Amino acid sequence: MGLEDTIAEAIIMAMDELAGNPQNAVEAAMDCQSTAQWIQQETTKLALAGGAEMVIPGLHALTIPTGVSYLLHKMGYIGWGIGALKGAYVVETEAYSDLRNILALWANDAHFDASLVEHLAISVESLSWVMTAEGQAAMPKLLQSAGDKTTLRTFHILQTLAENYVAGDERGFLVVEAVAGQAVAAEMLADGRANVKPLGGEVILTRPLGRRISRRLAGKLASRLGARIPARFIVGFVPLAGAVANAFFNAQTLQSMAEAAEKYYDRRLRRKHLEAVNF
Amino acid sequence: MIARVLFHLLFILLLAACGRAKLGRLPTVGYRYLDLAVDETFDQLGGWRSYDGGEALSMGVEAGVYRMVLTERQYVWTQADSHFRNVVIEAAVAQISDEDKGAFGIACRLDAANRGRGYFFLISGDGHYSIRWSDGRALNSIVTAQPSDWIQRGQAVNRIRAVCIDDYLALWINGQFAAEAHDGRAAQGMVGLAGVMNAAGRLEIEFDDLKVWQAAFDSRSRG
Repeated sequence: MGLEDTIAEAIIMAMDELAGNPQNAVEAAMDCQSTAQWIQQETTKLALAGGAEMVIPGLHALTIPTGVSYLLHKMGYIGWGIGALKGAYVVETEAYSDLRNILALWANDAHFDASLVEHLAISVESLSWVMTAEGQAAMPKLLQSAGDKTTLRTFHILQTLAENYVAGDERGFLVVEAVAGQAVAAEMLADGRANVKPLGGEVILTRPLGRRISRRLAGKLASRLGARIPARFIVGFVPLAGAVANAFFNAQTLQSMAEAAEKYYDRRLRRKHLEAVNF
Repeated sequence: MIARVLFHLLFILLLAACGRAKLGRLPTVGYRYLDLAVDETFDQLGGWRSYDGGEALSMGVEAGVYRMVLTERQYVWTQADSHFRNVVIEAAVAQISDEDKGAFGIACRLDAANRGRGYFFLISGDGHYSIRWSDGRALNSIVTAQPSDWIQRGQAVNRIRAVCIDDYLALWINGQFAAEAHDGRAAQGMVGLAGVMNAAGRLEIEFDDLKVWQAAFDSRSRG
């Protein structure tokens, strides 16, 4: 098994273990003044962790797999935080994953292409609107609109998320509470209970079900991460220089990941997009 | 003795006169501008929402301004798509219609769900100002409506500044301090623009040159 295969396998396992709990990241990010401050804070933390990983020459060979897993966790953490700070409803369920979409963009050198993601990011305001009578009345037309596949799939997911929210999706409630406040989260639930009717929409996913990330995407990610691994092996044997270099690699990786997350969440589905179809 | 009393009386009268005329109040705390986070000239649609509800309400980016037209008793807002905690917001607001009962201004800490919860800093065409909390259904007073000589009345342009730092809220109008308050109902949120109609009529307003700075308290200065 080559280095990239090993990393790909580690990514698949790490993604399964992540099991998508964005709440901590969302809450931590909301204490920041801005996305820039959040990215700086988390990049610094990861750079320091990267330095510590390499500070004992020779030990790094054992800690690199752990480092990759930690890096992936941090990628999710920083991405979800960026989403929260942009007013997004961070989606991380068994079936739908913002992180998977962000990673897909990151593997594409952070260039946004709607065909690369399974769905668009979803704003809290669009979820809130779908809970209202007006939003529910508009939903059938949205679900039959002639948009691109990614957008149409996002409409379906939006309706499903609304139905889940009403059915008692505790994790979803906590995310809304962290982003928009308890009163708003409760108000949305009350609205949803009064208005949301299951539409029985079918969400067609393009990825094979069973794992949280496809082997193809894991391979692409491993290719991008793997490009840095040999350098890490080499510098790891040099005291101090190894620590400094690894801190730099980690910070650079996280910065590029943050860029992908910003592009993903900047293109989130907003209420105005939903209204544009209906008016 | 009589001369001294007269002098004091004259001094007091002068002070009172100055107070009534233009002597501004002072804020109790100072603040400083940090990074400029938003510099919006409305030359492009950007993230701003457009809405066309016929005669009752229309709003959106148009010809380099954000334009709101409302005709029914209602209050409306639109919000930018960035989240902030402590900010100073400034915007120029031009009243185009001749209706002087309408109010307009800027908002901070609007909830991400766009349900209208947040702080509103308003002035009216007849020269009043107010700071309000909106729960999405009604605008409740934090600082009740007060008249101000600093407000340009009628069809005029006013520059509004809102300060939202921790639980401190302050309203400045055309560079002059108007009011301040403390309220802890919202600690973070979006920045927005607002229009209010309290009576029948038509209110048309245009917002331009919106700037948002991150901000912090500063014990060395008072604005």
